[in-house]
Amino acid sequence: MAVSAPDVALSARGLKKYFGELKAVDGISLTVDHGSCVALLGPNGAGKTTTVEMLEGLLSPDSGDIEILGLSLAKDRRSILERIGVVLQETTLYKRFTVAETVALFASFYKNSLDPDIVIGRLLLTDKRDTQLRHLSGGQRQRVYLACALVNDPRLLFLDEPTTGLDPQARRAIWELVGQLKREGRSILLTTHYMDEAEALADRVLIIDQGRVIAEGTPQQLIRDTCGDTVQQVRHGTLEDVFIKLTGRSIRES
Amino acid sequence: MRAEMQPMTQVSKSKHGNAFLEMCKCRWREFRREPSAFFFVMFMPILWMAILGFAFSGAKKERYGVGWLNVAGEDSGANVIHDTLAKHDQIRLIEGDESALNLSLIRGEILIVLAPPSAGRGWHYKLDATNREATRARTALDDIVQSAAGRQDVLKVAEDYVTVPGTRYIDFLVPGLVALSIMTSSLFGVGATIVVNRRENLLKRYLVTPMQPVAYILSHVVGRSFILAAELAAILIAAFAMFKFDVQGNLLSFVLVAALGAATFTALAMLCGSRTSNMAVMNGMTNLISVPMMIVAGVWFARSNFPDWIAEPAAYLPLTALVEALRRIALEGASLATVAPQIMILFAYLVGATLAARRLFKWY
Repeated sequence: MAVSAPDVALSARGLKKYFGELKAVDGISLTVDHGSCVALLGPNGAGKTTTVEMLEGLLSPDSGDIEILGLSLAKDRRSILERIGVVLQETTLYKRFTVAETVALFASFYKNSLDPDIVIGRLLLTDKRDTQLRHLSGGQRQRVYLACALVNDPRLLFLDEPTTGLDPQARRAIWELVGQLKREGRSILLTTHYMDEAEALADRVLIIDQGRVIAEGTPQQLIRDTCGDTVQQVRHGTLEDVFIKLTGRSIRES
Repeated sequence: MRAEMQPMTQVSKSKHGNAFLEMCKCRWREFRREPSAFFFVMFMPILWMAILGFAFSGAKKERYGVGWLNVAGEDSGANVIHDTLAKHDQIRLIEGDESALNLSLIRGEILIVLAPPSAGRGWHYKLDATNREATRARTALDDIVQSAAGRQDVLKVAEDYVTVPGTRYIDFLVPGLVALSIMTSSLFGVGATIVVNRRENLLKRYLVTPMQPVAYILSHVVGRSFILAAELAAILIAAFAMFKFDVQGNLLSFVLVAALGAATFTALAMLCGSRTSNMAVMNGMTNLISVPMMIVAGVWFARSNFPDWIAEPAAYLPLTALVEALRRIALEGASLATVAPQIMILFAYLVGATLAARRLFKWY
């Protein structure tokens, strides 16, 4: 157990974080295999954000170990940061910067990064290259954030609610892109409020409530295990049903 | 979408740009592309200077509102005085009965009431002795009244007017405005940027990159220096063009002290903005610091006009130290050694605020 297997991009064991009396995270373990996408689902206040912030190194856990790309987060945070990409929720980059200036800014943070123009082209923003962010649509802006997360060619991506607030078309475009990134062999840890997003993108889903993992598996497994295994129910059940069964509430009202 | 995508994995990677340099470029773009920031830094001080400079240029004498109390049975002596006052260019005479003049006093239309003799009482003035302008009005008025009544001056004294560059009010004002604009642009510029960056999660986003946080902090210091240079140049050039203002001392000393001032107020701004992500809290804090200093630091007129219990502690405020050091260099040609006490005060604030901000700073 001491050394994670080479085919694991991220492994966390026994993460705990208490804020006074509140057990925000109370013993969560998870792994993300290379080239796979793991989704964290959970109502607000379940400990999702605290977990992700510990994995990103923004918060230090009270106890537990985190290994990312074969390195210990506690010891090699800076080397890890060179190799991961992050899209945080509710981030606003400089509104009066152009797309090219924004991506170039993030490129400058890394020892090794891709040519910003190649990343911009990859996210289909070439014709918006010299447009200031304030003039972009929500979907285009989200693609700029993704470009900033991809500019160092990361092996592991943290995507925190990457499509919240986007229209269906823009969401599909982001899903398409995330699928591509996965096919390129990148590993992804996704947090989302959308069940359809988790079903579309995730190889494995972890449902978190009250600081603990309460269910874990492929989307199909979770649906089958929770909603019963008759053919009919498998066909009609969704992750939304699983979620309501397990936590007693719908994810969007929580 | 898929058809147009090329995988990025085959593309080679290399170093693209320097984080600190890019951060400094951020500061410049923030300043240059935010029209309001640009306006407040570059044009407000010049506007102030133009308004105040022209308002106080020319040897115009103060004019006082004086109330003339109408009483029954004025004698001819009183009439002579009344006519003299009515024609005098320093007096704006308003006549009325007691209640009308009281109302004018309350409204500030007149500063003093002059009552001619009546009902067994002689000439008398009525004024608020704590109002400085009113006591000035009394002196001027008494002078006019006495000479109209026939007083002869014992001594004839000639007047020389100060018009030499370097000794006018505008010369006094320009270094004050330089100091004031350094304070406001640093406090509001840097503080607001940090608070907004924190509120919008940008600082947090930076923390999940390998960028060294010190690059962000230092970029604010460097960015301030460039903005300061632009600010100083604009004010000094405008002051020279409009009023032939000139720095009597060493220009380099002037710039160095200004730079120290900018660094000090940048550090204070970081301290104010070290924790909050709420702009209202930030504005409250910066106003709490800056408004009292604007009043007591001697930007507009000499600090010695205040009572000692304000003027003496005010000497230790950073804005006071900056104003006085800049003024001495500009007006008296002082060297850096002469203004060492002011430099020490600024330096103490710089170090204190930097250490405190370092301790308190929260990235998100």
